[in-house]
Amino acid sequence: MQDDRPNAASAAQRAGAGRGLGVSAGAPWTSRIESVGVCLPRQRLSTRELMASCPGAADVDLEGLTGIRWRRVCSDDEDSHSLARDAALDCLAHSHHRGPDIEMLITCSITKYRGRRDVNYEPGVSFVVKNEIGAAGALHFDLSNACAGMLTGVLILDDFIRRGAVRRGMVVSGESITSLSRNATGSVQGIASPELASLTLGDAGAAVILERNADGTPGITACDLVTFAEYSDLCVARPCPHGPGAVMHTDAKALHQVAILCCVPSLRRALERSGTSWGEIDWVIPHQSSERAIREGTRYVSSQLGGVPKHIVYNLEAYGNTSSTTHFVALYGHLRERRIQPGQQVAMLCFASGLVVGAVVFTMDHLVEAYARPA
Amino acid sequence: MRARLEAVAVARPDPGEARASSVALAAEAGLACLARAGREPAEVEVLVNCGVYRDENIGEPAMAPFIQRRMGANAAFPPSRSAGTLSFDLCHSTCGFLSALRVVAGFIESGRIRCGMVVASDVDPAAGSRGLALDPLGAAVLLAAGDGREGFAAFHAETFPRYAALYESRLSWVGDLPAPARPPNRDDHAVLVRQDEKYVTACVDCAESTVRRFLAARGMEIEDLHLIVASRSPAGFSDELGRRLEAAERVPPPSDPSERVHAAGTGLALAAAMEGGMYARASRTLLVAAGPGVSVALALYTKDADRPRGG
Repeated sequence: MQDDRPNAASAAQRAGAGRGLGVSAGAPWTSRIESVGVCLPRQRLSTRELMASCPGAADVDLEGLTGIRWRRVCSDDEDSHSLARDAALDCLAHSHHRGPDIEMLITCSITKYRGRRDVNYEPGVSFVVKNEIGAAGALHFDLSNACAGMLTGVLILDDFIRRGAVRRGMVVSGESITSLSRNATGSVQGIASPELASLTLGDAGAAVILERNADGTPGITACDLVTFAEYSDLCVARPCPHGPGAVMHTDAKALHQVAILCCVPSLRRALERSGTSWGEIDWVIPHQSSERAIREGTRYVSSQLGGVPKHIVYNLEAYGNTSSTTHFVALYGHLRERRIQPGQQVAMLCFASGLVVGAVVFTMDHLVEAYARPA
Repeated sequence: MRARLEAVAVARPDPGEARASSVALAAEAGLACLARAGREPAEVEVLVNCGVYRDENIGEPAMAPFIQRRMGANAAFPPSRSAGTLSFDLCHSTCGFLSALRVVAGFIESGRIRCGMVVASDVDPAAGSRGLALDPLGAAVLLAAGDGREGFAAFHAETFPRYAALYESRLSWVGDLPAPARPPNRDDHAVLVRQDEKYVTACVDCAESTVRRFLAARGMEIEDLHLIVASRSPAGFSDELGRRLEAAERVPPPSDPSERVHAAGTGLALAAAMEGGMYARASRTLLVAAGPGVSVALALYTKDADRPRGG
């Protein structure tokens, strides 16, 4: 039998490389991103239109503060479930695999809306989606980790693939999250309002297929996530007491400050395990919260780690903060625009309620070819 | 590196407590687990919560960070030990406990971590839920890297979507429904659960067939198992599965047969097996859970160095 375990030796060498979740010490395989899919709701809502419905925020320049000009919002026939399913189908359309090939499916949505008034609990979203995309035999579960959901799903799936437990799987999320925006419009009072962050949200679905890396390219080189739970109260969403959907209270300033402070050790570990440095990263895809927060955050990280990445990805202008899907919505856009090239290193940075920080680092490979042809 | 079960614990609310907290119950079970194992909270590198029905129906963040904070497991920055703790929720109904054990055991097997914990707790989030029959309970299991002589040998899961409609639950906005259609005392969101009378039988049917297939694929028979830890949820599942498998004497009896639990059902059954001494005597233990879908999850735990075929 041919031994196609290209990284067995290097993984073993890295076994003693510090602590943390980063990379499996003795795992024989590596994983790579095989496909990315996205589903965006048809309807767009401008920040100007949204703010016109916020009587208490007439003096807030949300677009200037965040860089968000538009966001997609679900119509009546769209919800978390449909966004997840259609993103999964789009992912398969860009993939060499079919539904039955998917051995593991993890859904990571914060929102689990079926329609506007029901949050799906059981059976889970993953059960529904896997059957709808023809992956009936896939191991499945739902995962919840706020905006770190998809990256946590990637960490778990990467681990299953590295151990040889599965050969490929899919991580999916569908976020119909703008009910928070709708419910905040009557409550926001000025720039310090705890519901202001709710106005930055946009709806989107995203999916990614990971597979066993058999061609010797680096693929995913590190996934390192950490929760600093002392700060779990800084952003909390609950069911709305006055109508369908949810409300979210955020101390955005404090959340931003502790997130950039806490992320540095995790990011440093991820870069070391990937054999690279902050300045060598070609594309940084941060969680899309606001342009100002991203600029300040990357400036701080650069001051701590040295060097400056070549490109920082922003897609806030068109989509806003699409919560757990932001990284893959952004990656998808850059793949379709053919901006990222094979061999370039990409770091996805996680800042999520919880507080969850960390990074997923990978080297782009022939994945780009799937986006050079019509899906 | 095989993942070894280090400790199991359950927690119940104080008798006089007005409203139980899912976070408090999970954290209490987790801390009891650590005390039994002689470990500190900071040693837990991954904490997975698999409870479904939670305090205030909070949607974000996951409940696991609240549990992590209450346990004092590397909650503040910088972490007191190692790189810190990652916590998140894994939601797979009554199969969630075994799915979470599978994830944590995998992290240990691949060398990412040396110690991780699975917790589960369910409470009625608010008065007025419909169809939710729950006694508040928390359960926790501590896993750690072992010496290879014992540990999880195999995991397996199957789903039977033809039974999907037999159990459905959701959080629904009921505020604008006419009073007769609303659960009593609710004018906002309410948890609505619908369980068909055929649900438990379907769970047993699916679990029995899955167990038999799983064992056959490994050249094993029911007689090769010394202990069958069947989830205490849904009610009646473990007893009936024991009868179907003709192995009732190897299914630990519940400490309280009337107790109604959900995601913590596997942890509760495991605790009963440990307290009754059955776990200590067993070299080969099969853990079985079934839940909405119908989904079935299995885990084979062995205390001998050799893994069964197909593990």
